[in-house]
Amino acid sequence: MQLFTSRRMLAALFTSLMLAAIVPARAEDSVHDWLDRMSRAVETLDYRGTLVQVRNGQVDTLRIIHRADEEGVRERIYSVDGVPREVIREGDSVRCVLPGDEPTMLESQLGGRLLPSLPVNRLLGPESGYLMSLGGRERVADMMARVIQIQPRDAYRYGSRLWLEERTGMLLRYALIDHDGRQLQQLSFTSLDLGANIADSELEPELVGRQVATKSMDESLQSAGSRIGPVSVRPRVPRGFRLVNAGRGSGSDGSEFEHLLYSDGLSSFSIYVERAGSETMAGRVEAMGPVHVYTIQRGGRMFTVVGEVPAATVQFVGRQLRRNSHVPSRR
Amino acid sequence: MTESSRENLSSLMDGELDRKGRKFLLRRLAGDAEMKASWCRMHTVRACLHQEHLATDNLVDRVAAALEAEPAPSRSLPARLLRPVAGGAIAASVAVMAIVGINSSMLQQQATEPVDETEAGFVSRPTELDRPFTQSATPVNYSEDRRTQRQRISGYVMRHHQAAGSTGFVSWVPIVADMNGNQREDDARSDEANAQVGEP
Repeated sequence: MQLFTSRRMLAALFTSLMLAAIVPARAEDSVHDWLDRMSRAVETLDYRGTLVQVRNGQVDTLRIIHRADEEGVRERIYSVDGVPREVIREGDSVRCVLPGDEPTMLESQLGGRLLPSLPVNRLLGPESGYLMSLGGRERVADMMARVIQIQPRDAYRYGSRLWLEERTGMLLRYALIDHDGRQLQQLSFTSLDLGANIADSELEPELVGRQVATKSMDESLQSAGSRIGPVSVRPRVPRGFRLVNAGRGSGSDGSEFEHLLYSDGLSSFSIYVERAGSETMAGRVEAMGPVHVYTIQRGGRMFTVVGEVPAATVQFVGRQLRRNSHVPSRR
Repeated sequence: MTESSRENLSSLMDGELDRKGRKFLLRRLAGDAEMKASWCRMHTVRACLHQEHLATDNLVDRVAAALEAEPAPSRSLPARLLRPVAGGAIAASVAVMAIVGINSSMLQQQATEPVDETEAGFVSRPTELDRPFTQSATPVNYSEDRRTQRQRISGYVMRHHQAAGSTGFVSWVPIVADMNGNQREDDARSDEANAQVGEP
């Protein structure tokens, strides 16, 4: 009898250990599935909604109209308070109409994304720059959402909290957080019509920029996942980031630039390299919300580091470029 | 302090020096007051960038005092009238900055160059916090037209978002919102200038 009890205890212990090993793996799979569903939902569903952005004590209300069909993705985001502003996405092209007495339009064209699809498996591994976990359920914009927490392990990347609609995985609320878990910015739908019928007229811009200020054209790009050819610079970058693609493009004035894209699987930044005068320009940081830009001119080249990453990240890369820029490039 | 010394300090901070170099530099650092001050400044900046500090009244006061003591560059009349307002706003911005990171309003008001109000582009200006990093380089020489430069950077931001295929609207909404922030600041500045000019 005693032997039988011991066996049962051992079996129970073994089962517990097995469960302890399996449950985290299942939780990781779930985060993986939710993130995949979110990426698909945000791009492939049709929707019309109102969302608010809260950042730095400032509230902005915007409308978003999104349609995806055989002709590709069309999206229009425009402000409903403050001065009129809008961004129009049509397939490979994005136009920003900037406010002012004479609205100015910036346009950029790129033949497809350069970043390979989200390697979530790598993100969830021990080398990941993030800790991910599945949270509870909350109600957002009259829909039930599942909360995903993505916590950065260091100060060189942002994390986020995502509220994903339970049936479709659609992103309903997004909070950008820093390494210490502090919330830097939040976007949240206040109303959302998923599966809406979107007419062409809704996607037409209301603002017309009188002047095309920048038209960045894509010349030769490698498709995501293809072998990366030689590049002119390979600076040291914060741990976890790696060069995932490279391409070339030209600006509105015909000047050519090299475009290197780095990613850690979730956060990314770009380095643009272009020819410049022989004068030296000190490195400086500029900001656009969570996007930081570091520009430096040295050795007849201008380097611009751009990414939705903390200022510390673009500073780190910029300093490496500054140190290495005297080395003749190998191209 | 020479540029190479600053580079070495920067390398030391990034943990890029070998054991010998580290030892040598630490010995020098112990006996060089200027270098020590520079080292402290770099750490303060890094701590702010990493949001390790919470802003305190003391910090705000110190920033305000530093701005007050700073020699004013020659400016147009409205810009001169705006200076006290801008100083207060910057001090407030620094307090907020510790929580939200570098914000564009601070960058706008911090600029010591004349501001072209009509210039297009949604990327804002360098911050006060960048100075310790930037001062190590040779004098700034913007050969390019400022307006063109900001448009060029805005184009790069757009291209980066496209290339990274970021999660749809999440990347684009801040751009639309930020354009309003810049406009609000411009409006506030011009209203303030008008009010000041209108006073007897």
